[in-house]
Amino acid sequence: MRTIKRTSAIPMTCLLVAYLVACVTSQSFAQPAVATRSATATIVTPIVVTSTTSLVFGNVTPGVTKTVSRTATGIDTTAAVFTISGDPGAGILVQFTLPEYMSATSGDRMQLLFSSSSCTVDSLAGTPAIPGAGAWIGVNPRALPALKIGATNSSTSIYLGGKVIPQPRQTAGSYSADIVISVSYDGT
Amino acid sequence: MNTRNHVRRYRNVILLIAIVMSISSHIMASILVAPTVVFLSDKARTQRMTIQNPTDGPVEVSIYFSFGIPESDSLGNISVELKDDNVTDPRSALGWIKAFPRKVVVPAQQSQIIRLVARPPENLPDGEYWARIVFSSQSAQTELPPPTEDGAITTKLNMIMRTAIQVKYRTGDLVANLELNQTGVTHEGNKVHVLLDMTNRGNVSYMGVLTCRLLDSDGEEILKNRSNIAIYRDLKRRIDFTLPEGSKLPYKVDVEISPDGRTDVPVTDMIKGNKIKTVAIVETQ
Repeated sequence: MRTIKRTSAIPMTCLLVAYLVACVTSQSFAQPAVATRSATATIVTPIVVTSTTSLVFGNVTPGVTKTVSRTATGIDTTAAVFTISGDPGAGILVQFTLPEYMSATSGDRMQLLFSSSSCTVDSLAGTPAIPGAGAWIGVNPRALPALKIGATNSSTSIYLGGKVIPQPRQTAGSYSADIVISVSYDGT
Repeated sequence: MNTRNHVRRYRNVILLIAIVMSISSHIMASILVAPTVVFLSDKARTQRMTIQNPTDGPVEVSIYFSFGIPESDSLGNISVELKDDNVTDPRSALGWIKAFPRKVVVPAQQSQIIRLVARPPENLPDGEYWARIVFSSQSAQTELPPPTEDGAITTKLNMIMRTAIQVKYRTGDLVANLELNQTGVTHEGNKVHVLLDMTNRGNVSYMGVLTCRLLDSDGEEILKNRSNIAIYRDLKRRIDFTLPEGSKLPYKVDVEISPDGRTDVPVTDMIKGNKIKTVAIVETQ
């Protein structure tokens, strides 16, 4: 492992690239007259999981179900967009943990639904509204297939829509919940 | 590894960071975790990882361990179920590999080193032990929007990202040995499905490269699939090919599983196992 001396003149990204020259192995070959040293470095592309857009329902009216499509890119309502970047073509396993309710600080709950077709998987740098060619549309977010990091732009995006079902007597207030996306490399 | 590979790898890393940096103003939360797999051993019980926050705001990161290895159903669909407790797997390293710190707020555009220490139980049988280090992050600012009018309901969904990196602890004599039990190939319409049934017979996870070549009756390659694989126990793996329009009828599939060709794992960390080659004839439905 290399030791990196940190200086303010070097941007953080450069330091990280240097760090990612993670494992350096070297072999020395003793020759009768000449000693040659050769080094082999393995450069590992890091994995990056990004939430670029949250799932936004905007204002909700009691008794009125509100659906945000996986294609929504509006001002008031938007589909969630997750981007996973890494080694192009690398296999990844993605798992969502999706809430069934949103909760208010008062303890009141409001039902939240994710259908078995509320997801799009896009490896070609499209958008929720216009996924790239070959995108998997209408995928079940609770049973995502094994995916690959897109070869074109070193990333794969997942778009997620949902539905909120407030009761007619739903208490006014602010409700929240967590959407969890877990990502791991398939080949390690 | 040749020079071209090095150049390609450097390019990928720099491209990835450039992409993340370029969209950082739109990012709500994101962390970059390296390396993609961590090796510890009885000779090197400590290791370090780096997390970086490429965004313009602080990111809170929690670090903990889970257990999860790739498992498959009968159709070859693979998944990893992360378990935090009640893990009884004898190969679990949960509980005796620790990370420091376990919670950190990474300022914008900054990075943080995470140190790993293994304190295995005594008399651990030879082999490899597994855990996943999980980096859980969300934007540090998660205020709930107030209702805008009387009787209105506002909502906020917190997006939590978890990156699970495999940690492997090795001790004693290590053997990598894979067995290919069965290979099935079916052809239906423009789809060809290859199903490989594999069993790990070693005491470490078998890491290698799986290459499937779909050939026509003249031996010409129609399509090729190459994937990095890690087999922990039994695993069925499916490879799907979509035939291009006008392609010849598929006749057979050449399968090769080799410990060579992994560019994402340092050579010194590879426990090289056996090489497998087989040919399967396509069965048309």
